[in-house]
Amino acid sequence: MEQILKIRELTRRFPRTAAPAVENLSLALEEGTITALVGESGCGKSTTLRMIAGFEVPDNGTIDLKDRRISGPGRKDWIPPESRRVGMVFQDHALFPHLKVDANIGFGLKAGGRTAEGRERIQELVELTGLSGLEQRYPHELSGGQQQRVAIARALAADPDLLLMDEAFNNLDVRLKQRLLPEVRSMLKESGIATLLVTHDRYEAFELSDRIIVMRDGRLIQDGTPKEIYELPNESYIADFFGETNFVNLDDGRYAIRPENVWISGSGGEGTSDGNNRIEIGGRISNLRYRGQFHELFVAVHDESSPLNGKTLLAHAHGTTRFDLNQSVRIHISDASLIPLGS
Amino acid sequence: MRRDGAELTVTGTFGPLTRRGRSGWAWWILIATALLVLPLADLVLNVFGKSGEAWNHLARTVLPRYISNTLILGIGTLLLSGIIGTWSAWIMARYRFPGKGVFGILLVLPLALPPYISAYAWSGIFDYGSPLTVILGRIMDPVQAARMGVAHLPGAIFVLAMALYPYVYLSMKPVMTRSIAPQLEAARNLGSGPRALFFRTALPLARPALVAGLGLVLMEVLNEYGAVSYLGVDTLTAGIFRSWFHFYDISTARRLGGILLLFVFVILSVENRQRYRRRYFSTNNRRPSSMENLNGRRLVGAVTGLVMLIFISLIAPMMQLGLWASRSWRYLLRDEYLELTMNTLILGVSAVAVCLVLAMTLVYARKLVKHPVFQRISSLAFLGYAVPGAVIALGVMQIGGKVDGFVTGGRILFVSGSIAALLYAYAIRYLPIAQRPISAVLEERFSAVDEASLSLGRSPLSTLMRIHLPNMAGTLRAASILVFLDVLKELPLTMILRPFNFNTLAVRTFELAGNEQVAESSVPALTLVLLSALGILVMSFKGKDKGPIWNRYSRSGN
Repeated sequence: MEQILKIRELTRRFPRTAAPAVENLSLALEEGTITALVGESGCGKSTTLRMIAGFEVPDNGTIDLKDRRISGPGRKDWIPPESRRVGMVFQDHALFPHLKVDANIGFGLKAGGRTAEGRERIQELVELTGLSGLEQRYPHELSGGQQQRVAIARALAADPDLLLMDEAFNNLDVRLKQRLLPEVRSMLKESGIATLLVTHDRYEAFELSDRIIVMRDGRLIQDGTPKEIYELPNESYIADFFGETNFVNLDDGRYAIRPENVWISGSGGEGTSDGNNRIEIGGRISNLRYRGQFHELFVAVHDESSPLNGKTLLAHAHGTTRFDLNQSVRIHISDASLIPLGS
Repeated sequence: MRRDGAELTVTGTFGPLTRRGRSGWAWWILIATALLVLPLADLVLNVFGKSGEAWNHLARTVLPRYISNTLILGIGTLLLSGIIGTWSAWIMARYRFPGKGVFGILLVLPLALPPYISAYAWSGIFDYGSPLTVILGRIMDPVQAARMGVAHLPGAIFVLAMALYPYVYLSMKPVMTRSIAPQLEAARNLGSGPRALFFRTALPLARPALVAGLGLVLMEVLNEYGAVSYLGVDTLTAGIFRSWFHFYDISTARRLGGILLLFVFVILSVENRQRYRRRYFSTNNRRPSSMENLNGRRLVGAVTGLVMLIFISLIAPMMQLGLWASRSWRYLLRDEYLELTMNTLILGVSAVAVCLVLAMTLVYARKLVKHPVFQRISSLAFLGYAVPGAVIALGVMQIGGKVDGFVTGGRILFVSGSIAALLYAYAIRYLPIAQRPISAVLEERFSAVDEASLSLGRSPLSTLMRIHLPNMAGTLRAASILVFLDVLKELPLTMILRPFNFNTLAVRTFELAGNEQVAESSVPALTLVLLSALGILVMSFKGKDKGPIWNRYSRSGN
């Protein structure tokens, strides 16, 4: 697939801070894919996005959009934000409170969308984003989800080469997010635009993106599909960031184990055991919590021969099996669910 | 409303008017508000009373000129200060350039220079034989050059706009830097270049702030007496003084004051509508807007513009004052100078004390009583800032006269013409300046703390004294400085109400300048300006990012 955005060795230092906000970051985005830039607050993901949009000036490195240099070391390389053809959905939406929905969407079009083509384009986006009937409302007359759709429609209207989303779903409540995110994904897929979104919420990243880039302290630390990031994180920080994790040290190195892959059976031996299990040890339930869809079991390992002896493992138990505090149980962990983390 | 033992109660949609144990605070709101509003109410009613012969004569002859001068002066000053204030705020909010920090302070400092003092200075700059007229005389006809001056309506507009544009600047800058920053970025992202960004997004979004700043400018224009009288422009305010000081015609003065008040109500209602619109803006934006580096021709243009603005509004008048002061510095050694300075300081400190006590107790009462009717009543007490000093003075005079007549049969003027009357008038005019920062802290922030203290058995008064007071040192200091700065510069109100032979720096400056002793007046004038500048500098450094501190000037800020 064709690469639409190429970033090379991007660095940004803020005055009066020792470590750079973004350091030697290189990445490329492909046409039509949705990529999530994920990390804790302060990891440099927002700064990266703002450099692509042109609101921050990099100290070093280059940014190319569709074979056009938009940021680089030379003075002529730098294109101001208004000429970049990069759409952006802002945190808190940043809608124009003095303009109605249609004028907000048409803002980036010629003559503010008041031409015949402009009106047609606005109508297209109103339909794509499901805003029909709300064109004559002011932003403050819309719900949070509707404002979100206007923000997306507005960013897409001028047909940008790339769409950026900066923590765009932060202020929506969880239930609304659950409903909206799949819809947003299908809108973006339908429009076919390459999208880079920044988020600190792993669910948002899983729900929306084809690809996840993880950043920490201004550096890229992993780049892969959501499945790769979750199942094969290349360091313990990433494993921990994307889900609850047991970290164990075995004879041949350090491993991560997801709690849903820790199988627990009663001491009698019932439960799943397919024979391929790398680890088969005994333990005792030291704490348990009911979490609705599953039980959270904390199992203290009691097995003199195991390197895990004395450690407490977290397991998620689904289904109807009943467990009790202090119950003796067997722990089964298959080979495939051991995530190697190096030494 | 019915009186029910010690409790005021009204049953209705809002439940009992006051809660048990809060009736004392409710009464305080009623009494204090009544005292603060009474002088103005009296004046408004007077407009609709029967008019005398003198008034009819005035209405036929000079009144149309007073009104048209006031309108032209107001509109001209609004336009000029609006353009300058908005432009400078935009440059400072949007661009990065060398020396920006210094410009940030210099753009506010003209507030230390009251319009009447710049009027003297500019008259001096245009005086016959001054360096400027000599230079102008070489370029154009010398007679014409000597005639230019500032003693006419356009000159007054120029002087007032140069002194008052910081109100617009201070009102617009935080909005352009922070409040609308996300929309500015969105607009740039959607393709707006510098020009479109300003006209299509920044200006419409910052309009409430512009209106608020212009409202303050207009109120100051209506309040202004020293500058317009020195420059010979007959406005309504100048008319009040003429009727009062030259013709001893108090009823005409009061009627003019009433007309002036009607102007004020119009301004307030326009401003209120704008504030209503502002509700829909997100106010919790913390990230300032991304700035652009200025370079090349635009850098030269912007910096030249700012330097010229600061030279005209600040440096040129200060140089003129300095020149005069170098000739008449011996004034410093006179007893009179010491007395003036002491009088001014004592008056300022007393006014600060009165305003702070009133503001703290009224704001806290409002919070405790928490009833919409009382909220509305008490907000009347905070309208005085909009009323010209001369008008307040006339109202207080009248009330004071009635009290004196009642107590002593008018033989001794212990209320009217005393320091007490002066402080009463200052309280009416400057209470709102103390109230705004105090409200921002006391009313909006500490609710849970209040409830905790009350639940632990403290009375409201003890909560106020032991919990709030110790936590408000910064706010109270800011409020004190703001009130003090205004009392320091105050002229018309003090002129009318001061006790016989009691002078302040401001009044003496005005008297000396009016008596053709303008060089001598420069010493008290400079004292006043330097004291104000000190206060402003303290505020600018202490007040960084502390929100409500500059509320006096940016009413749309928080």
